[in-house]
Amino acid sequence: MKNKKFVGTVMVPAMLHMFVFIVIPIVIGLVISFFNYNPLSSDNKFIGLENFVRLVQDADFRKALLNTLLFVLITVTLNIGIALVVAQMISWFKSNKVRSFFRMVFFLPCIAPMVATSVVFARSIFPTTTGFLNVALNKIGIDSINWLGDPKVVMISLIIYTIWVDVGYNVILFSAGIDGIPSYVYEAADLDGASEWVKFRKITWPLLGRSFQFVIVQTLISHFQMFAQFAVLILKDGPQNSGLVLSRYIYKMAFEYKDMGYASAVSLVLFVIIMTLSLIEQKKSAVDWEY
Amino acid sequence: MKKRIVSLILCGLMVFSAAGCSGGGENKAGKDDVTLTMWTHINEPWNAAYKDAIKEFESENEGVRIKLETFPYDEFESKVQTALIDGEGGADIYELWGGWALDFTPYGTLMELPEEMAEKVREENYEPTYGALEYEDKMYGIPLEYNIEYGGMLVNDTLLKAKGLTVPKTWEELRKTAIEGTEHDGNIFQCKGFDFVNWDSVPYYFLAFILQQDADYMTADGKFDVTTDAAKTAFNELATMVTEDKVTDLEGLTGGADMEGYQQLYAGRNMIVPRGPWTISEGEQSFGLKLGTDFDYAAMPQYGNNQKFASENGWSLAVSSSCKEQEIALKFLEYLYQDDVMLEHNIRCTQIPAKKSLAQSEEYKKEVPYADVLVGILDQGQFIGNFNTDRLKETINNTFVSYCSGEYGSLDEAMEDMNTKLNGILE
Repeated sequence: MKNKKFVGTVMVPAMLHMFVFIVIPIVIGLVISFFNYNPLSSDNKFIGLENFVRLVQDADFRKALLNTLLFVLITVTLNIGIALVVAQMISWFKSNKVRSFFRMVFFLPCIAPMVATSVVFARSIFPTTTGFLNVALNKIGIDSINWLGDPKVVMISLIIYTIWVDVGYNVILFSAGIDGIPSYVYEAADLDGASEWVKFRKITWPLLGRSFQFVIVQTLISHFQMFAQFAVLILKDGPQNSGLVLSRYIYKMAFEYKDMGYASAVSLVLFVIIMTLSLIEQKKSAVDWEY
Repeated sequence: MKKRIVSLILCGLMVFSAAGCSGGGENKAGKDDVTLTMWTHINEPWNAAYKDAIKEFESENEGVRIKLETFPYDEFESKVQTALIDGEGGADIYELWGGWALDFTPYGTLMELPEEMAEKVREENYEPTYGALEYEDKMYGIPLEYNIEYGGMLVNDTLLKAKGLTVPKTWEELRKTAIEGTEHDGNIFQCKGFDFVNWDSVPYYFLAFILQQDADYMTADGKFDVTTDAAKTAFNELATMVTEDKVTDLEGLTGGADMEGYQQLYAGRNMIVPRGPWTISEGEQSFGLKLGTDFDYAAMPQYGNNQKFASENGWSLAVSSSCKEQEIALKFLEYLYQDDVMLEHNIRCTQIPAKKSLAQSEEYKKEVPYADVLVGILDQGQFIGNFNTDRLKETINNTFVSYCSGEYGSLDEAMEDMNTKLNGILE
């Protein structure tokens, strides 16, 4: 009974915080999406499902949705794949210091503010004539690529940047997961003469289940919500809206077009997508073992 | 003992908090002290000019204090918007850019100027400087400057001389000079002869070229019409400079450049770039160039029968309707609006004055000589219109990029599409 009281007391502030800052805004957002809402006006008309009907007919929204799904699919897959490989390679080093050094190197871009690194990439790495990437390509005889001005290339540039800036976080998580696997499991595999690949496939991969679950969900959520590179790295959503994603579209509708009701409808779509995918993923990769 | 210590701490805190409530104090004249807050964006010379004006105003008005708070430009609009939506908190006096006021005037969030003051603003200032501050014949702020993105162009003298060219005086000369000054290395530009492709210039030049053919981009009933022959001619004139003359590319709108076009001019990579005079100080301060020697600010040759152009509001000042001391806030606006104070402010901020008399004054021309190419055409400007100008620019620029990239079947198709989208802004 005492324990229950303690748990209740500890939970109340957290629940209160969640209710005030998460549940209420979501409900308000949902309500606003049914209005032609202007926060300055005292007369906001109820328009029912009009904003949602508009969504279906809006070519820019469809473009933003497609770009978002494509971006998230590619970046999340690449991010997790690269992070896992890098974490595994780091784990091969016996020295703790060396392992920490590599983890730090990969984690560094995560510490730098994304707005600042986006500016650096836009001004120094990607520019067509003076950018580092094209200078390097020219040196090996490859023609310059218009990284930020060609609608077919813009998304690739955004993905390259996102992988660079975000992979370190998952490297740390996977490294922690790998370090947490008991060494006797690997020792037993060594005695059986298992190769590195077999150890990875039969031991590391399945025993990283819990790490995977967390990494996939949090990477999905954060990549759906990414904003800085879309607002700073590319110019005005890129040519032909090639870099327009839902998070940027919500900002544009709400604060540039002052169409808060419609922006709320778009936010709701994004919310539903993230929630559905997270629930599916959690259900699919549920783990019911422990070591 | 413990109780004593606690009592002492509490007494100390009471005295401290009472001392903090200085807003309710009295000055020598026996009146209550008043503190107003003013919000502006960060711009060193501008902020210094405001501070000096405030200091002078405070010395003339005992017991009045104006606290200047500044914010980075990028977050200034959302900051102002949030504060005015909230009504409480925020500032008493706001610096507003361009069409921001359009979002606030219909909802009573800004204080209406007295009729006498409003009439003065209408009579004494150029029309494009206060259009967005007016709503249903009422005025909600004072304009500080004339925002002009048409009429002037930066010229890299070093590049021009090296190619044996001179500053063009007619539109035909400009097109010819631009072609002769352009240099390519394959698909890469070594020098753009006339880099007009940027977020502001394409829309402003498009509208100006329509007006200069004695036509209009809006109908009498307030709708857009860019399907006219004049609009098609204007649009085609700009597009052919990209697609046929190839004097510049679309990088300024699509992205991919390391600098803006005018910065590339200062870096010796562009020969002529049309931009507002606000770009001059960057050439001198950031690139260490000298106006008149390394680069010039020259008059843009007129395209049509006249130099008509459209312009949106520049910076202005307005008082929040939730300001508790509106009379004093208004007094500060009136103080700043005085000819001598405003002239000094415009000169220090290198602004084109909104007031006709100041823009044409000898003192201003003497202090800001490069503005000479613009002051002669200021009275040919017209207010761009009561709509979201960011959306207007976005629509024109997107159509321009798509048309130049060959995504439309014909010019007619492009103009029809643009017309539909522009009228969508008004809905």
